[in-house]
Amino acid sequence: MEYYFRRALDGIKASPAASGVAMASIAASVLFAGAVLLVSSNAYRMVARWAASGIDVSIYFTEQAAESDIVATKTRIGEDPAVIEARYISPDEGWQFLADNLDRSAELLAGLEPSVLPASLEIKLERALSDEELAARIQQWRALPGVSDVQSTRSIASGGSALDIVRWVAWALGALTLLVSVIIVATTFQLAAYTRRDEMNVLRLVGAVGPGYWGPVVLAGILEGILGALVALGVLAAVFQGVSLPIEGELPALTDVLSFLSARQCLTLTLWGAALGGAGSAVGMWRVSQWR
Amino acid sequence: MIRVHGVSKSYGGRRVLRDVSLHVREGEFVALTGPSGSGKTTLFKLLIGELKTDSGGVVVNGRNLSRLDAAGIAELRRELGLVFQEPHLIERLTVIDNISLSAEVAGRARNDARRLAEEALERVGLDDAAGCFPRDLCAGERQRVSIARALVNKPPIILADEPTLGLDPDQSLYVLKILTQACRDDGTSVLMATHDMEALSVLRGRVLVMSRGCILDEEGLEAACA
Repeated sequence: MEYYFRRALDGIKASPAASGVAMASIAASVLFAGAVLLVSSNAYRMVARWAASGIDVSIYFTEQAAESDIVATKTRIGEDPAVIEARYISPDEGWQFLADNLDRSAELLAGLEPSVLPASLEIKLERALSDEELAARIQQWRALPGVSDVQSTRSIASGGSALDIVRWVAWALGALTLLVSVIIVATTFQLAAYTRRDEMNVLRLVGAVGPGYWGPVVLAGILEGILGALVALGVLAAVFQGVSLPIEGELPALTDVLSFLSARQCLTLTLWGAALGGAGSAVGMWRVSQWR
Repeated sequence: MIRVHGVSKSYGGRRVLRDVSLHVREGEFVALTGPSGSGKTTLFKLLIGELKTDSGGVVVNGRNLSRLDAAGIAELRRELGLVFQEPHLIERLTVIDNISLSAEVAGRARNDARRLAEEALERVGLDDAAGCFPRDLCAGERQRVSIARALVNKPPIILADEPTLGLDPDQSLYVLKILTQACRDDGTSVLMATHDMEALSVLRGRVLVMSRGCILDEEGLEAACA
């Protein structure tokens, strides 16, 4: 083993430019893969949290809606077993909520009366409700006396299907990353192997075969891959810190949602870098051996 | 030790070797000479398994090359001492590391390989150059390092292809002296391809002459000289 490590490290030290380029190509590959993984896992968490929080439905009443209609609507909706919560929001409460959340843009409300806002029922439904069940309810509620409109947060996509979309996009980007990485790294390592062709030729002439021949070169590739992956993870962590802090400042709700890659994901990416380096070296060496 | 029987080889329709046969016995020094393009290097490449014969048989150190796969060829090379026209040294390794690498490839432990490399360097008169890099040496010294590498595993056979090519007369004689000593002192069989006439004049071994892909017999030699 000492022979392999000594020769692998000698090889890296002997051709720093080629090793550096090989390492950089792996770092770029791991950086891209890591960025895809980081974005998709955070997006997945955000969508999952949104989906887990239930379906929000707002029922808006007309200006002329009688209090008895509102009470009757609230009672009827409250009897629905799929309803987790139903809360009446008066125009004044709605106005206050708006003023609180507009923050610095609150002057937009200047000159307006709270009565411009409709009274509403804010309802939270079980997230397990299917699109068809939700649509049926919305249709029924729209027909209730005093109701002007009904809106749902699941109007574009259901939580489940949004998670599926995130998952499929991540897989597609992952596959693309894999393909691009293999092509770039194999080409780079071919160049690296080319710079070592004389050494490989000497080894062949003195009868090196099997692991004694390819072992040190592949091991050098694995070491370059691990170093490249660690550099990429370091860069990714720094960028994540730089980006996530301002986002969390603006959107405090994301504070416990955004997170860096898990230890397992970091280990997977490092192993991915090592595998790319080893495979790239083997392919490069094989290609160079075909040229002689 | 080396037996070549009725070997022919062609490249792109041109016959480079025609029905060549030769036999090198244990402890024998055989020089193979002839003009450039006579087939010496092709024969050398056949002997180390770099090329395959079109017909005929080659047996080196008891191994029939036509039956050897890549691993078998590599194993054979580890048993032989090979010296080429170019020294084929690894520039980033020191002289001692270049030599001990060959011993390590043959399965020796590092310390053992280093000790053998030091002995081999002493035999070629370069024991003071162990820590140098090949770029620090002149052409003759580089070739002597490659001979030390060929000697390090104490091989039963040394195959040398034009080892004195491009060397000045003094360095050529030094190289020949080392090869002759290995043959005389260790009983190593040496087959050396050369067209260095000065080298041939000082050799005491058998000389075979190649011309147009054939090894000339007495009649052929007379015809060639006429």
